[in-house]
Amino acid sequence: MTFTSFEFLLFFPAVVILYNLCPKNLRVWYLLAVSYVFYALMQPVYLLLLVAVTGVTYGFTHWMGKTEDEKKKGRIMVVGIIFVLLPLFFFKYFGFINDVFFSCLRLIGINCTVPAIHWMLPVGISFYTFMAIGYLIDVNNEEVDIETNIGAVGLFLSFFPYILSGPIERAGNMFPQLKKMPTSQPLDLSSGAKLMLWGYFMKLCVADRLGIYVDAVFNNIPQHNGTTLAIATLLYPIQVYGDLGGYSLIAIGAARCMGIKIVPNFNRPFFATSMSELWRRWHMSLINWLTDYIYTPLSFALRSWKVWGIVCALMLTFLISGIWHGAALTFIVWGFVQGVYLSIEALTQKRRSALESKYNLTQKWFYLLICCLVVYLLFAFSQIFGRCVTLSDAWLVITKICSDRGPVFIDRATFAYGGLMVVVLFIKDFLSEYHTDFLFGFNSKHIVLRYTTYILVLFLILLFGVLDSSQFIYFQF
Amino acid sequence: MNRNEICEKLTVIFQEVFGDNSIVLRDDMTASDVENWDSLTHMLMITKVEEVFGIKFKLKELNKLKMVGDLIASVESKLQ
Amino acid sequence: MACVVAIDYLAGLFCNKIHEDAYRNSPESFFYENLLYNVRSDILIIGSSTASHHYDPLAIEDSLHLSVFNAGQDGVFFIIQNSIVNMVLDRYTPKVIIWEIGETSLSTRYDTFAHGHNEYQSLKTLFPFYETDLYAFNTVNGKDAYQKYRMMSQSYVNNSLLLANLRAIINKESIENKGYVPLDTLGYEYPSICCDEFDDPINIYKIDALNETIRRCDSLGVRLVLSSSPRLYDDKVLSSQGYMVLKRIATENDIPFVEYYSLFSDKPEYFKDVDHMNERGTRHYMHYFIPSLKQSVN
Repeated sequence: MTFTSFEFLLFFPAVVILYNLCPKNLRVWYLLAVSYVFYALMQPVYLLLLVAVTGVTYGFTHWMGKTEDEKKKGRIMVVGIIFVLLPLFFFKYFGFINDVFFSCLRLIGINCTVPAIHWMLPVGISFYTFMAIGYLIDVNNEEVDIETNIGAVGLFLSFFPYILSGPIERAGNMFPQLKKMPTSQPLDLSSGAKLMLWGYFMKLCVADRLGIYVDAVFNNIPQHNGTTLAIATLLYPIQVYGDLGGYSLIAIGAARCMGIKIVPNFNRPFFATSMSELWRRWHMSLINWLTDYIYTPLSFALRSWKVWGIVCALMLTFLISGIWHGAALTFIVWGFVQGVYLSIEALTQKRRSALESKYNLTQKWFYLLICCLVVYLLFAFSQIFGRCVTLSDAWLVITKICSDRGPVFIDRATFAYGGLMVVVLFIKDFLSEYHTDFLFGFNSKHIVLRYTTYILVLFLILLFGVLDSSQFIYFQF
Repeated sequence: MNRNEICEKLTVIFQEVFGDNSIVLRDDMTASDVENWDSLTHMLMITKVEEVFGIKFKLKELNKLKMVGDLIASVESKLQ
Repeated sequence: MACVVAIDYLAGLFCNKIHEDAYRNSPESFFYENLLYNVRSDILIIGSSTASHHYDPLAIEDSLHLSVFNAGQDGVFFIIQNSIVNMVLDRYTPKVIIWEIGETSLSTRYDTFAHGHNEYQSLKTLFPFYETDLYAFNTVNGKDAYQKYRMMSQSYVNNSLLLANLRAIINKESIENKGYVPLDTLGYEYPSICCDEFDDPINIYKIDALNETIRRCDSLGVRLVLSSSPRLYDDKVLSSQGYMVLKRIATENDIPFVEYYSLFSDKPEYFKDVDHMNERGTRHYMHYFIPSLKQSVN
C-alpha cells in the first residue's frame, strides 16, 4: 500500500478516526500496531527485522544508561551502531561490494565466481537504520533522555507516514510528542489535509507526469539525441522535487492529522542562490542528519587542517550521502560531484563575498536569477548520475548532450499537462517564497477563496494527474 | 581576561571569518542572524577561537552551544 | 463533500461536451471510437504494436479484393484486444479477423509491471464505451477491486483527455494507410541482442477468454485467423509454453495459425528493433503472409 493507492484513501481516515477514539495512554501502542500492519502488508518477513532493530536499539540505549564511565558508554554505542548497521550493510551493500571486489580480482587476473545473493531490499531500512543510529548517538551525547517505553521506541522507528521515504526524524523531536499523543484538533486536521492535498498534487500532477517523459528518454538512452537528453536532464530535478517533496508533504500532513509534527523536508529548493543554500533546502532531514552525525564530528576532528579539513569533511559526508541513496558507482560519483561543488564554494567563499559586496550584487534581482539558474544547471548535471543506472550510461548521456544535436522528442501530453502543472507549482512556490499569506493560497482569510483553492487543486489532480499506469509513451523510433 | 575583552576578541574573529565588518555580538545571536555563518564556516570560527584563546573544545561541548552567549560563557570558563 | 460531487459531475458534463465536439470534427483522432462506430471493413487486423507495424492493408486489399483495416495499436495487449474484438462483433460481422497474437499474449508476463508493460496500461481506450458496452464495462472493472469506484468520478474518467480533445477540435486528422503504421527504414541501427527469458506461465483465464471469443466468431460466421509475425531472435519462442498453447488452441478449434516467427531471423536489415520490422521487412513479410492468408480463408 503506497500513499497514492486507493486503499490508502480508505485506510488513512479510518486510522485517524480510531486514533482519536483510542484512550490516550494506549495511543502509542495503537499507532505502533497500525504501523506494523502497514509494513506487514508490504513485506511481512522484514517486519521481524524492524522489530529486531527496535529491540537492539532499546537494549543498547538502556545499557548506556546504566553505564557511568564515558569511554565505556562510547564503546557500547559503537557496538550498538555496528549491530544496527549490519542488516543495512548486508541487504543493501553486500551484493555491490561483492561485485566490486570480484571485478577488482578479475582485473588482476583472478577469475572466481561466487553465486550472487540477491535479497530484496527491506522497505525503509535506510531510514530506520539512520534514525536508530541518531538516537544511539544522541543518548551517548546526553542530548536526549533514554526512552523507557519500548512501544515508543518501536513507533519512532516504524511510524507509517515516514517509514517509506522519510523525512528522517530525530529522537529529540519525536519522543516528547509520543509522550503527549494529543487528540487531533481541527487545526491539525485542516493543516494536515492541506499538506496532503498539495503533496498529492506535487506527486501525481508534477512528478509522475514529468516522469513519463524522463523515463521514456532515460530508459532508451541510445535511441535519443543529445537535445532530447538535455531536456530530460533539465526536467529530472523538478520530477524528483515533486516526487520526494510531494511524498514528504503527504507524510508530514498525515502525521499532522494526528497532532504529530514532523520536520519538513523541502523548502522551495529551486530558489537557492548557491549550492550550499540548495542543500539547506533540499532533503533537509537527510542533510541535517548527515551534518549533525557525520559532518560536524568529522570537521571537528579535522579542524586543524583549516579549510582543507572542511573540504575533506564535505567530500566524505557527501560520499556517504551518495552511498546511502543506493549501492552503485553512479551514486558514489553523484556524492563526489556534490562534495566537489560545495568544496569549491567553500574555498571561493571569501572572494565571492567580496565581489558581491563590492557591486552590491545581492540586491540585484538579475544576479539572484542568474545564481538560481546556475545552481539549477549544476544540480541537474549532477543528477544525471543519480538517474542513470550505470556509469557508462551516464557518460553516454553527457557526451551525447555535448555533441549530438537533433530534433527534440516531443510528447505533447507531457509537455502540455506537465508544463501547466509545473507553472502552477512554480507560482505557488514563488508566492510562498516572496509573499506570505497571499490571497490565493491555502491560507487565505476568506473561506470561499480557501475552499475554491482546495477544490481547484483536487480537480487539477483528478483531471491532469497520472492516476493510473495507462499513460506511457511507447517510444516510436 | 574579563568578559569584555573576550567579547572584543570574539568580535574580531567573527568579523574576519564571516567577512562582515559590521558584526556586533549579542548574547542571543545565532547562526541565522549572520550571513555566511553556516556549518561550513562554523568550524573555521571555532578553530580560530581555539587558536586565539589557546583553549580546546570537546565535541560534546560544541553541540551544547546554541548561541553566542553560550560561547562567551564557555570561553570564560575555560580560561579560568 | 456534496459540492465536490456536484462539481465532478459538472466537470464531467463539460468534458463530455468538448469530446463530442472534438469527435464530430475529427473522428479519426480517436482511434477506437472511430473503429467501433465507423469502420466496417471485410477484413480487420487486431493486435498490439506488432499488428500495427507489420500488416499493410493496401497490399492485402490488392490481393484479396476485400476491404481491410489495421486496428492494431501500440501497448494494447490481450485483454484489451479481446474486448475490442467482442465489441466489434457486437456491431457487425467482418468476414475475416486477423488476430496478431504472440507467445506472450496468453501468459502472465504482463499481469504485473515486472516487465515494464502491463495488460491494463491501455485501459483508458475502453473508457468511452464503459457506459454502453458490457464487454468494456466488465473488462474495465476487472482491473482491480476499486476500479468501479474510480469510474464513478467523472473527472477521473476524463483524466488527461483535454489536450487530445482540444487538438481534435482545432485540427481534423485522418488515419493514413488504413491504420498501418510503417516504421521507416532509414537511420537504421543494429538492434541489440535480446536475452529475455520468454517462458512465463500461462494465464488460464486468458485461454478461456480466447476460446470463448473463438466460439463466438464461429457462431457468427467470422473467419478468425491467428497470426504471428517474424521475430529477429526466435530461439526460445518455438519451445515456449505460450507457443504450444496457441498451437493447441488453434488445432482444437480448427482455426488457422499462420506462424512466421523464424522467417527473417537471419535478416536484421528487415528490423527496426528486436520486436518490430521496418517497412522493408513488412513488405517482404506480406509476400509470404498474403498467400497463407488466401489459403486459410478459402
